[in-house]
Amino acid sequence: MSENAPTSPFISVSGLRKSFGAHEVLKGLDFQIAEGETTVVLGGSGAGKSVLLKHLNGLLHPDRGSVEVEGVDIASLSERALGDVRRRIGIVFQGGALFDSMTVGENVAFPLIEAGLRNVDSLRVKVSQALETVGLSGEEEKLPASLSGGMRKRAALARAIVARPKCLLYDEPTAELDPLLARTIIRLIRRLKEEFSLTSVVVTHDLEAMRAVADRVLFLKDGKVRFAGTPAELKDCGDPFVFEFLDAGGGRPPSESGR
Amino acid sequence: MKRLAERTGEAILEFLTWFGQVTRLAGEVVGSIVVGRVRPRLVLVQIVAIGFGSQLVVVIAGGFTGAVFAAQAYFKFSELGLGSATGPVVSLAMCRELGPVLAGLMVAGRVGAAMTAEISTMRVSEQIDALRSMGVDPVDYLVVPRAVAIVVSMPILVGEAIAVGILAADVLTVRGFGLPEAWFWNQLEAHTGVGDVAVGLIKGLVFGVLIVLIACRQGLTAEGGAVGVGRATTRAVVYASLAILISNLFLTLLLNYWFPLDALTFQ
Repeated sequence: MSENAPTSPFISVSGLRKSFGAHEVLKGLDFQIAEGETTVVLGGSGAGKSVLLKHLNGLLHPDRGSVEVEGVDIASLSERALGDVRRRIGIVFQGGALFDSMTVGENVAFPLIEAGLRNVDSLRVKVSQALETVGLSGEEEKLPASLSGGMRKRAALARAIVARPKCLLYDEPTAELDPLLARTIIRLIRRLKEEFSLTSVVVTHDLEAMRAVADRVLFLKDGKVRFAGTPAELKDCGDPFVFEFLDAGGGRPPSESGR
Repeated sequence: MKRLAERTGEAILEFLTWFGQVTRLAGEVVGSIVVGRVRPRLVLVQIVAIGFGSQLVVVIAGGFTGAVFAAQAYFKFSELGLGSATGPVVSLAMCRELGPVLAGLMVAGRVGAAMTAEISTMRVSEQIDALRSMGVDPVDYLVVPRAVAIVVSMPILVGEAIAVGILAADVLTVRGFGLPEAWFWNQLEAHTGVGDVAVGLIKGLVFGVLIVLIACRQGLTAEGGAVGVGRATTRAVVYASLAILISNLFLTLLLNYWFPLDALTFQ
């Protein structure tokens, strides 16, 4: 896990603040995400996890502070200039966010077509490879509405990886899934990391997911970083709130093995 | 009293913000079209949905309104011995006011509601964010094709409403009430010019643009799950309908400058 010591940060966040109306959601965050690492952002509901995630590919703009991706501050980029950054950073939304009007195959092909790929045969091959990776071979013609929650998440994952991004952001990947399906998604996240050497950021409050995939953990509370370190360090951090969260979520503090 | 002033101030501020957002969206759409970011395939899909799909409602609305307007005009005019005025009165009313306004209201109800419902559902289910996360501008992908499609479709729909309204008036008054056909058509042709039709088509085009901008703005800013989708859709139809009715007055005054309505004189 953490034996692969981080070298250059892929994403670097400093002094990040964000408010919606009078409510300040992020109150000055500083952290770095190293290339090839999986960072799990833990925290309770309303801690600002998803808001933070959407800052990492420029879907939200900070009120103050900076978000640097490979050394470029994306906070100052225009929507059009962000297109290039976003093609390097895929995102899997909580509900999948598949386009309802398109089939699964069209959804997965969408990022490739937008990137300029027009050859039908190579589109078909890439789409079927991506679907095979997530275990959805042969489901190209189905509409998102006819898929189960787990299938929708896997299809969304296929769409996120098809254009081979360098980094993948996951928003609550195991939420609303039964434990078996959640485990399938967790295995998939690990496999994708190993197969494609992906840098990943996983927002979750699922401790089993955290244990299984995290190289580093970022614990958010009330818009601030309460803890940053390895899962092993999390266990021994001595913060009563963190301990209570871990205790309530998993019945026990995270194991050192992380599996 | 203070509270009333505060509320009025808030309402004015809210309206100005809304107006600013609609205007900004218009600017973005024009910008995208000027630099050629129009997706022809999506435009065609929208022309089918907006233009082709709205024909039946627009034709029915135009037909029945033309007929009922003709009936009322004929009842009164024939009493005064002016039955032959029915044709021009119906045609001028259909061309200049009823055709575009009715088509606009029908399209606002049918197409505007569907647009807002679809886009706001995409917004609350993060599909808009998904588009952006793939480097696709939602305005280019969702709004521009609809705007181009409605600019193409609305004048045709208005033309259909006008034509069917006049034909329905002919069926009712000439074939139903026995008004001599020559009276109806000769007077109609004598008093209806290209300018009258142009007024209708220009109005239809403006109404179409208003419908798309308002419906898409409501959709793109929707919040709050299914309730938010419902609220955005209702507001889109109400705001678009009001915008049509209010702008119609100003368009009438403005267009009358270029295409003045002559006094009716009968030979």
